Amino acid sequence: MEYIFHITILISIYGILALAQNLVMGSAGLLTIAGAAFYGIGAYTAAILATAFGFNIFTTLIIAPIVAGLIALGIGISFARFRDDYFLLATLGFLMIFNTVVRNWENVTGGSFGIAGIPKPHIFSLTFDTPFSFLVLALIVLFIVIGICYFISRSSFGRVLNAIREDEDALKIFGYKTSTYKLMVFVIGAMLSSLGGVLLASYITFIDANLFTVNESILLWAMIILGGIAKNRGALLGALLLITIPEALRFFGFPNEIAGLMRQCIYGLLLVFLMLYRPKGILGQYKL
Amino acid sequence: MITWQIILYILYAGVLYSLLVIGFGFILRSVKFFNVAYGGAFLVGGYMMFLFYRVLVISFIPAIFLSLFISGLYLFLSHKFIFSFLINRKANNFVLLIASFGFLTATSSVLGMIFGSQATIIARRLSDIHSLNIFGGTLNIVEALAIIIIFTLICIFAFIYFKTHFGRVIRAVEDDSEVAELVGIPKGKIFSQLFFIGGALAGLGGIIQGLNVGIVPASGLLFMLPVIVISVLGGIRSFWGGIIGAFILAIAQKLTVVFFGGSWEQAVPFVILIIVLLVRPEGILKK
Repeated sequence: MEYIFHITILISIYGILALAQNLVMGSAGLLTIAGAAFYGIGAYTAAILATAFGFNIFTTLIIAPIVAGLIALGIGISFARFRDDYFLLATLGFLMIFNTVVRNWENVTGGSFGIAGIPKPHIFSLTFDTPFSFLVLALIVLFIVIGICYFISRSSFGRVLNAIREDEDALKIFGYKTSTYKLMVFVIGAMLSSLGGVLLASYITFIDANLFTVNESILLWAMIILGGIAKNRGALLGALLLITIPEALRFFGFPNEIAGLMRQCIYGLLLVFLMLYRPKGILGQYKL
Repeated sequence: MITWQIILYILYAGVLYSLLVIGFGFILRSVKFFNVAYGGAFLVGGYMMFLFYRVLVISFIPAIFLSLFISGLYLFLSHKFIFSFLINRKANNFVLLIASFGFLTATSSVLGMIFGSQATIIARRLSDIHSLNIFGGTLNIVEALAIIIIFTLICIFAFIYFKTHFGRVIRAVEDDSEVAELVGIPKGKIFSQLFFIGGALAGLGGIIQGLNVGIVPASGLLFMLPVIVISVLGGIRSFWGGIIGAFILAIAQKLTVVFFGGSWEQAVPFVILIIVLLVRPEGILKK
């Protein structure tokens, strides 16, 4: 039972991340690989505030999106002029710089030792330290994020984003300031990703720089593309499938290191095959 | 004398990047997207050399040629079965980039499963890699030989690219492959040859790296990223721009190591990338 709770918590956390990634990459068509960086910013904000300053994780659930949002705003403004490949490269650059800073800024981030002993959230006398109670918390956050994503995709803002993905130049002719819309969705995506990071940090109680690498962003890509890009339901389905299916490897008794590599291999091959044979994923409508 | 030592290290890093960027340039200019599967060929070259030279105990020179052949074949096959298929379907860069990132991830994890995630050293005995004294500075034998060999290769490729018929054909295909096809150049065949050559060049980079300090599955991406940065920095359409870019990056990286310490080395390319993209996205040598 504990194990099922554990998997469900992971699915909820990755569900949040996949929804956020889908908002940026699916709805607006911004090819970004910085997903893991904002996830990491959330996790590190929570970890640093909770361990060094004694903040409650609940408070960090509010502070982390603000931090991530501000950073995303700065990054978004400077990257606003890039499109497609160059936007991807710039976000990749940002991810690598984030990773290097985290690895080297030992006083603050613990360098390669990471940060251990991150507390569980508590409110009044209630502490979310059992798997079940943490699951409830993760699900609450997930439902809030689902609500936000559905609200956005049904609003006029969401429709403008879809139009940017389809034909940005045409939209510009109609007088829409597309760069503002792209900036907004980038910032919102970063804020939502950071929520996933806070939950992760508090759940596994230990974080280090190896958690937030390019591979993690590739996993998020695989999730939203498998589920069906530009569909909120698709992102959730992708998170569900790509967390549960590789868990099966555990039952075949592969050693941990090999199982991790096999998972990576599955994600990579999955992306290649999806691109070759079904670029719109399982539930997708938007043809890449 | 420390300055001279730094210059030697810059020289080595610069030629290694130049080697990689020459091969990557061929691929970038012909398919027009940042095909990170090139980093996979780097890994395949290094690990195949380990397999042939150290596990199967084949002698040095034949092992090198076998590994280069396989890394060339790797990139050629990846193009034939994945990327050319996607390009023919008129897939956009979004799809191509995702596929190439997926392919690199899969390659490095497969190699990690076979050879382990620890650094794989190709040399049979560490004493084989002895150091040389060059006018007061030190380089090991691999670095010194790499500088000479790659410098020769740069000259050969520059000659082929600018002076021979084959080079002219390549430039035509790179410039506008459809027009080139109209005037009777077999586009598909040239693409295949370019991918094979590019893969072999990347493989040579992997072999040199593996002989010098060892190779890990993550080094495919780690070396791919500076190479992309260099090609943006040098201007993606220019042969010499790439080589100038390689040396600029090498200088920036080594000076960072001197002033700030080795752990910041990996962030240098990206700082440069973001500056270049913001200031001069067309690169140093515009074409």
